[in-house]
Parts: sequence; structure tokens; C-alpha cells
Amino acid sequence: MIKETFDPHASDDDNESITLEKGEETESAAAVGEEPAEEALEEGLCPRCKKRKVAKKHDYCYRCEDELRRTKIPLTGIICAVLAIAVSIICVVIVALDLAPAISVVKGDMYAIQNNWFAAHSAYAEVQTSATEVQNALATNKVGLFLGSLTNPGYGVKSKIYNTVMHIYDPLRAYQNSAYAFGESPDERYLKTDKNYQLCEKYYNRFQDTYLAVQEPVDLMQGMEKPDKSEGEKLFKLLEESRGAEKVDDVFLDYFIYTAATYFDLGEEKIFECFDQMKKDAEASEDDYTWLYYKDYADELLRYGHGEEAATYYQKLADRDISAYDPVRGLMNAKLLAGDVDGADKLVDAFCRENLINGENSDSNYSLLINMARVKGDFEEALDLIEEAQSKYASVPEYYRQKCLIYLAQENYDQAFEAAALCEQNAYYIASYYGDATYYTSDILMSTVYIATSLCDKYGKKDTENAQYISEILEDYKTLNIRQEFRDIVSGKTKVTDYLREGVCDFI
Amino acid sequence: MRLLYIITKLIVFPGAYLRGFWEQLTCRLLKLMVEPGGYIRLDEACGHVEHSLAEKQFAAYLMATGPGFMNFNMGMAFFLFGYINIFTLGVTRFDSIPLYICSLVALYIGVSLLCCLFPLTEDILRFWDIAYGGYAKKKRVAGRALDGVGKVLGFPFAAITRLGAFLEKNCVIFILWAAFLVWRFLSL
Repeated sequence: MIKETFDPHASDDDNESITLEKGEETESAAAVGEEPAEEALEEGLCPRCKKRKVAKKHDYCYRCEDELRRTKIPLTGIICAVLAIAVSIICVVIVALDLAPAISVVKGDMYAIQNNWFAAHSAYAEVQTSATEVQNALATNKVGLFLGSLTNPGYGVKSKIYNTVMHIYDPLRAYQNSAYAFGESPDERYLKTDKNYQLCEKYYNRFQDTYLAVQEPVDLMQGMEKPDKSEGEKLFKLLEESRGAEKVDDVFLDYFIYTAATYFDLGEEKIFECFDQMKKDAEASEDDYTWLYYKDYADELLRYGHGEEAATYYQKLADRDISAYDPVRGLMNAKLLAGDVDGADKLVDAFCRENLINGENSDSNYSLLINMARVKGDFEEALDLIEEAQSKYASVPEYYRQKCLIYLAQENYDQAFEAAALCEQNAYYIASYYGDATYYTSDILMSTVYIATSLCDKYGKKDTENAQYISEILEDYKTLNIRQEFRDIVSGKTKVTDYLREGVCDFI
Repeated sequence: MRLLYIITKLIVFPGAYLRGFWEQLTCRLLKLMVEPGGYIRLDEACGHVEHSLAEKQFAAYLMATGPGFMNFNMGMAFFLFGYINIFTLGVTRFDSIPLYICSLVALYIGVSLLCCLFPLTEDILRFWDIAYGGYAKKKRVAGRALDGVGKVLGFPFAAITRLGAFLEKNCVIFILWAAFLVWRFLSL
């Protein structure tokens, strides 16, 4: 730091003086730079030029001070500063263009932290939309096109979308639908660096290897027109023989065995035996397989009346994805099973409050609200909600199923059949066009359609068109594995209204 | 610590160089004496210029905050461009090599500018002394002295600048930035 001050009001006499004041400096004025040469100081000469005398109360002579006040600014400094300003202005423009997509990403990240994967997915999906809007707005000239190209989201966002798909569904489906997140021809080098993709690929390969190893018994099962218990023993033997074979994953093998057990409807003991084995093998594995069997396990527990234990598994699933519909539906049914209608109502209310989309109910919210209204016996409100929901989400099959249940409860079999048929059509549409056959192949859909169709066939008026359709559906359902308790409804041993009374969950 | 300080300033040389430039420009505007010697030098003044201390209140304020203000504005622009592209929009080398490299460079320049925000402790202490100490009265500093309200309103800025200067002198700011970037890159 150059020593002390220059007094612009000093007189010429003062300027000639060589007095140096000491001790005037504050702590802040402590010198950092070079001290004036001692020799020059002693002689009272300017330490810089060593020719002229130091001005009074100054460190240098006036000429040196004047020169120091006009120290040349280097040209490189000016060029660098001008360049930096220009480039930073360009950066500001690009940042402004990136802002909308970036905010969507941040929103998605916030939802992902809360395990709200559906909302996170929606936010991430908006990123490309925002970027495209910006690009379209700029696409009037070459500069705009160039600037627009800088707003494109990269593989980082695609990877986040993939991660949400992995959480909303499961690693196998995420892997099978990789093109949705990464595009049709993603860069293989990137995929090798993506941890989530690698994880899904690992699970998928294990699944495929296991499937190839057990293809013979699985094909045998799929080829059966009806579950044949005598063939079942052979099939289980073949499946068990695959255990320990090369590339066979024990947990996936357990899952195949469980699927066979449900196909042959081997009862509670066998099914939970399968799950015990699956849990044991999953715990022995270094990887997390809970995504594979938790939901099925909870569903089976609920089906066999272990509502409390089922609720703990549903809760684990709900904690993992707070936007997931199935765990909340399971928890609701567990509460209904325990006779806690108020608890179920509060649970649904809480879920719906947390899962609003732009302040409005999501399709899942409507499904749960309709279900609760029906369970509480408020059919009018349930039908109003169905109408409102269908005006926003036209093709959700669950709305038709709920409508069908309401008509069944009212013993209006013709309308129940029509609702069931629409439910099946919409589920088929979703399976065909979106590749999501979860609902189409679900027990709740099959049992509802089977019961509604059979009861309509038995007690309904049936116009000509419906009669043909009913016989086609019933023909199809002959080969399907419908649980005995639902066959009992059709045969008249039990009443459908027993399942649709107030406070009772339906065909779980 | 001196060696570490010089090393950190050399690592963030774009910010240090521009900081020095803004300081010299401010000195020129305020007619303060500046010792020639470059902006990047191997001593405690690396990233600064050797200059006489300001006498007037506003001049002392400008010397303490002006160059940092310029670095902050430009640094934020560079930093946000790089940060948003790499960490928010997830641009990777597999998307566009030029954009990825530009983003990395912008991120580096941005952080280097943001690592060189604060003045030398002498500059902020001079302002502190004029605004809150007895220097103004003793030296009859030109310009209206800060009244009670001014002192209260200006205190957070003065305190932040004083703290920042202390942290920057002890390389804490550089270490915090380095740690932040390492964490962000590792969490990619």
C-alpha cells in the first residue's frame, strides 16, 4: 500500500517541505507495499525518483505522486474487462432463457426430495416443454436459433425423468421403457455412466436370465386353458429344479413360483410360504428387491384378512412414493377391513390435499374420493364425483369400475354391465396404446367385470347387442382364474351386496 | 498462509486479474496513487493493486466495495450460466461437447470472480475507521459524516465486507467454493 496521503489543499511552501509525519496512521493504513528506501528517507529525498524532495506530509514528491495517480492501465486489462463484460451480458441473456426450464428442474428436485415422484415426474416433463417454447419464440433468426439451442436440457434431466419412472413403476418397466426417457437412440457411452440405468439393466438381465431358465414350466402354465392342479405339481418341481442353476436369480425364481401358486390358487399357506422364501432370498441378496414383492405381499395379506400387517407394508410403499395411488388405496382398504371408516376417510383426505395438481384433484384423488363416497353409502355424491372426474380424465377405467360397483350395490345389473364393459375397454386401450397392462390384468378389474357380466346375464334385461357381448366376455372368462369367492357370488351362494355394503371394501 | 493465499489467487487468476483491474480503475477515478506492478503478483497484494488509502468517506466506500461489486455481477452471470447448464439442465459431454466445455469454462470463470470479491483488509478498515471510528473527526474528512441512521443502515454491508475480507485473506472463501464444487460434481 502506498504510504499515506496527498493533500490537494497544501501550499507550494508545504510542497517543498520535507517533513514526514509519523504516527498519524491508523491501524488500517498499515503499509503492505514496499517501504521507501531508508537512505532516501534519511536524505529527505523522494524514495521513488530519489531526486526531488518529499512534499510535506507526503511520501513522494509531487511529480512522482502525479505519475502514480496516472499509472497506466494495461491494455490487456482493458481488453479482458471489456470482453468479460460482453460475455457476461451474453451469459445473462442465456440464463434468462434457461430460467423457465431450470425452475421446472428445481421444482422436480424439490418434489423428488419429498419422495413425491409423480409430481417430480410432471415437473421434469415440463422442462422440455418450456425449452421448446423458448426455442419457438426465438426461432425468428439465426441468432435466436443459436441461443435457443443453448436452452436444451441434457442427459442429466433425462436421467432424472428415468429415475422418476423407476420409482413410480419399477426398475424392470423403467428399463423396458428407457426410450421414453432417453430417446430412441441414446448415447451408449452416457448410459454406461448412468447409475440408475445400470441398476435397472442389472435387474432386467437377472430377470431375463431367470425367465429363460424357467421358460419351460412358465410356458406350460401359460399354455393351460384352466389351472390343472395335477400339472401344477410337475410345474413346481420343474421350477424348483432351476434353483441354483447358472444365472438364475433366486428372488425372481421365488416370484415365478409365487405367480404359479396364485394361478393354481393354492391357498394362504402356500402363498405365504412363497413370500417367506422370497423375503429370505431378498435379504440374502445385496440388492433391494422390495420393489418386486412388497405390493403383492401387502395385497395378499389384505386379501387373507391380515389388515394390520398389510398396512405396515403399504405404509412402507407410501413412504417410498407419497404420490403413489396403490399404497393409499391399500391403506384405505386395511382401515375399512378394521371397520375404521373415519380413519380411511381422513387418510384419503390427507392424500388428496397433498396431491393436488395446480390446486385441482388428480386422477388418483378422484378415484379415492369416489371410492370413499361409495363406501360411505353416499352414491349420489359418488356419481357426481365420477361425472366431474370424467370431464377431466376421460379414460380412467377405475371411474367406470366404481360406477359399476354402485349399480351392483343398487342391483341395477344392466347399467352395472355397461359400466364394467367401458371399464374393460378403457383398461384395454391403456394396455394397448401406453403399454401399461397393470390395471387390465388386475384382479379387481377381472373380478368386477366377471361379476357384473355374469349377474347381468343372469338377472339383467339384456338388449340384443349386449347379450352377444355378454356371452363373448363370459366365454373369455371361462379360461381365466377367478377366485372361488367371486364365483360363489355368481352362483348365488353369497350376495354381491355383502361386498358393497357401507364401510366394506370391495373385491380386493 | 501467505503461500496458500498466493496459490489460491493463482488458481483463480481470471478473477484476481479482473479484481486488480477494477481496483486500478477505481483508483484512477478517485485519483488515488497506484504503484505499477501488475495484478497477478507473488505477494499478499496478488489480485489487488498497491494504492494509497482513500481519505474521503465515499472514496473509501467505493474502494472497499466497487471492485467487488463489478466482480460479483460478472461472476454471477458466468457462474449461473455454467451452473444451470451443468447441474440444473444436466448438460453433459455426450449432449454437446462445445456447450459442455463453455459451461465448464464459464463455471470456472464465475467462481474465480466470486472468489475475489472482497477488498484488502486495509481498504475496508479504512472505510470502517472513517465511518465508525474517529478518523473522520481527527482528519476532518471531506463529506458529510455518517449519522446514526446511516451507520445502522450501512453496518451490515460494512460488516459483511469486513468479514469477507478476513475470510478471503485466510483463503476460507476459496476453500468453501472448492468444497461446494467438488460436492456438486460428485453428486452428479
